[in-house]
Amino acid sequence: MYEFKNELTMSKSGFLFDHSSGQTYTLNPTGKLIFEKMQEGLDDEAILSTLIEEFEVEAHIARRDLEDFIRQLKEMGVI
Amino acid sequence: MGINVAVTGLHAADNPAPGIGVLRSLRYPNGWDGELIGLAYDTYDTGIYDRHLMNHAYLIPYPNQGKEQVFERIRAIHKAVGIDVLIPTLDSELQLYQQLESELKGLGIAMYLPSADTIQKRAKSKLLEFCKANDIETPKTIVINDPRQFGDALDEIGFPLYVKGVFYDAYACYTRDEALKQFEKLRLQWGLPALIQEAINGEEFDICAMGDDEGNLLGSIPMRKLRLTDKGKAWSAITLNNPRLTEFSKKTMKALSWRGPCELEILQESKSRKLYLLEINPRFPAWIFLGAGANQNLPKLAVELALGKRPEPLPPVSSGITFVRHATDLICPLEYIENLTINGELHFEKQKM
Amino acid sequence: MPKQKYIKPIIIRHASAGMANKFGRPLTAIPTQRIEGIQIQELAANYGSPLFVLSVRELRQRYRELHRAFANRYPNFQIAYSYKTNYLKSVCSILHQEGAWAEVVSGFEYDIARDLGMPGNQIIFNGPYKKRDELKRAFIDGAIVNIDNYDELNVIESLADELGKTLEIGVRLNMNLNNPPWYKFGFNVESGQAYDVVRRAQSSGKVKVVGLHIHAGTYIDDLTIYQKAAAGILQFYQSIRNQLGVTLKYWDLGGGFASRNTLHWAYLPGEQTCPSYSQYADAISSTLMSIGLPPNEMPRLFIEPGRALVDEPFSLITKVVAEKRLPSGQRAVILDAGMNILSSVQWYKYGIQTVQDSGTMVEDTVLYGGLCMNIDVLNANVSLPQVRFGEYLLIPHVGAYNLSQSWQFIFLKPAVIAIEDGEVKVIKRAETREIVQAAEELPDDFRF
Repeated sequence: MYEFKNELTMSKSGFLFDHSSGQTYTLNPTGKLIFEKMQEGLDDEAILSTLIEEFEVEAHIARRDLEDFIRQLKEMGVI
Repeated sequence: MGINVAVTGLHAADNPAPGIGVLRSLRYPNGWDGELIGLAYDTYDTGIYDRHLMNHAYLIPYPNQGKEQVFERIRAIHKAVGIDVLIPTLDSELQLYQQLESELKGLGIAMYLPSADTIQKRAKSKLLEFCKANDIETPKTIVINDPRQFGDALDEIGFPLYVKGVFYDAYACYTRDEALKQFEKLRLQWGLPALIQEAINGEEFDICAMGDDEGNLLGSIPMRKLRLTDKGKAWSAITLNNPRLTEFSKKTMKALSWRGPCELEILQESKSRKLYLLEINPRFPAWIFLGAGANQNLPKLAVELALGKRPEPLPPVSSGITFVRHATDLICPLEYIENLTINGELHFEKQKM
Repeated sequence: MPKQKYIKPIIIRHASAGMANKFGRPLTAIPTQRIEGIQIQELAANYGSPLFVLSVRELRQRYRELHRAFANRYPNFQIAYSYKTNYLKSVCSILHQEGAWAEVVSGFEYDIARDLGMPGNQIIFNGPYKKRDELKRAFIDGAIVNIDNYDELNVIESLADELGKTLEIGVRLNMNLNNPPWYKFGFNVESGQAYDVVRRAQSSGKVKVVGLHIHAGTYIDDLTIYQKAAAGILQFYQSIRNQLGVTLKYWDLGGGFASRNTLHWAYLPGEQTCPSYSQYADAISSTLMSIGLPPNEMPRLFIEPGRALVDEPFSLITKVVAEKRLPSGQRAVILDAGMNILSSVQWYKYGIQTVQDSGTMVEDTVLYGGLCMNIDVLNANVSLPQVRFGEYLLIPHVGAYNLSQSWQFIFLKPAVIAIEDGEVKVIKRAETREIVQAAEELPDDFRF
């Protein structure tokens, strides 16, 4: 379970707005999907199986990318 | 059927780009019968947030992203909204649009630009040669390619003098030490060549002028700056009725066969009242809207010329018209920023421009 | 329901200033899948990666265009290809097939040309360091020799005694043409040095000045430099013709023409600033033609292009061998090609193209070469889509200097192939350890 630092609004287009800091971000469709699953409260394994279900991707690549993505969110102070 | 015009250079912060003045001129005094399209480089270019200025705003790639990429983007915008005339207004764009001229024409997009050859001749490092050949006064200038030429150049020009970069920056210097310091500074920042230019005591004037295919003067706005920002940009100026300035611009434009808009910087020496050509900027100046109020709507003229019409020269400028630049804040919803960031475009509700 | 195409997830934080917009699909995101009709992946699978690829069609076409541009404007014109730019045998030989002469600057290059079958009288021998025996052979072969300095003139005069005949020479000039001026080579015009050397040469009776040579610099996109060079050589010729009775057989305007690559310090891309062949030809020939001689008395005009002929026809295929994220948040990609085989990366901001479809959302990426050296950066900031481990990238326009200047360092040098009419030919095999170590000895005393 991930905890989001601030109130965040994600638009359909993948534009993310942080209400308390005023910072904005863009996510690509894969990033947006992961982000939404995180907001729904899914854990890494559940997010991973969603990715493998919906996309044409091998598990080890998806796992590595997910880790990289989460690291980025942490570095940016989003989670 | 109205004419759709796209304009670049829409960022108006502390050093405003000319695009906004061009759009306002087109709408002056009774609106524009067609759509106006703003082409910007950054989500936060200020002009694209002004819904009263244009119908559509699009982000386009910077000129240094490459010709092909800019062309592809403009083609896509053209397909979406239809562009009849495009007016680039920035120095850094000129070369690119000259090279795209025939490809854009193929799409049905017209422009009215100076030729590449003309642009070369007015380059700062070549201006002296051009002026000499055409009997136009310009301050004595030495181009320094090798630091060893520097000392001799100072002796030849004499103090006070300007140390100038080929593209940017100019410093007035009164002593050798000062000159050397500024020269080293320029050299480290921009490399050589640099210019050493004679400083002439006098008054500066600006003229925005429009030439036809043969360099005939179709309209001009001579002005004198009343107030300057700390960057030396006018924030207030007044139009002049000065036949000598008009004659001088006529002669210069003709000698260069200048086609399209330009801004001439001219200096009148205090004692002799001789006129010197300081610089030619190959585009509309940021203060171009002043012309609309003074009987000289040069952007409208540019659209007609681009469309192949051959308009008559405009009647003389109304003198004594003043502009005062006034910064204001625009309020906009987050969706504007989202649309520009994600889609690179923004469309305002249908309105008559 | 069929699964969606997968692209690596990314989030980009919008910087508060200076964020370049990405609208209009960046060219890096439009995959280039083939070279001359052949799949890049197939080429890499068959010949290895990295891999230099020559489009022979483009090389021939560029030569023909350049030749036409000058020949249409000047009656007696000849291209001499600057060997040092890329002296792979096939490259030189294809250009000789098209009609180019050779321009060499060392005995080594001279031997390459002769070995290919170039007659001596179609070789121009330039450069500041020519050895005595090399000069001797060149004069015996009837090569065109442009002298660079007084010491060389002394050697040539003694060769004239040895060979028992008057030797014809060209004199290399330098002038204040560009920034900084190339004063290293030849004799200075402004100071009178060039005039003095012609006078001395003529008066000795051992040599005869029949040519003038000037070469203003490298990657010159300012046409006025060529106008000035042409005007300078013309004026100099008029003075030595009138005062010293010299009649020229040729004048040689050198090379230095730019290519479409972009220099690091340039704002606009090379494709916008690089003049066309016709513009170069105009700048040079319109000035020279103003001498007003009848066409049959015009000295032959040589030019010595290198970069402008061979840069564009070569591309480099390279593979992504790792990707990582730097502490700054910036994405980094490591390639199997480094500056050891791409030395011009010191001067050029090379363009990068993707080979596979990696989506349209690009991210600023630093491209590292594969050397274990921190300085091995191929592009410090390129907008690149999400290319992955094992995928290929293409670097276009790499034919000038990289192959002749590449270092044997850490890795072996890759193969070079040429494609013409859909047929692939290997023009240089990939290096092996045996080739690299062939000249080495290991004395018994040093064995362990």
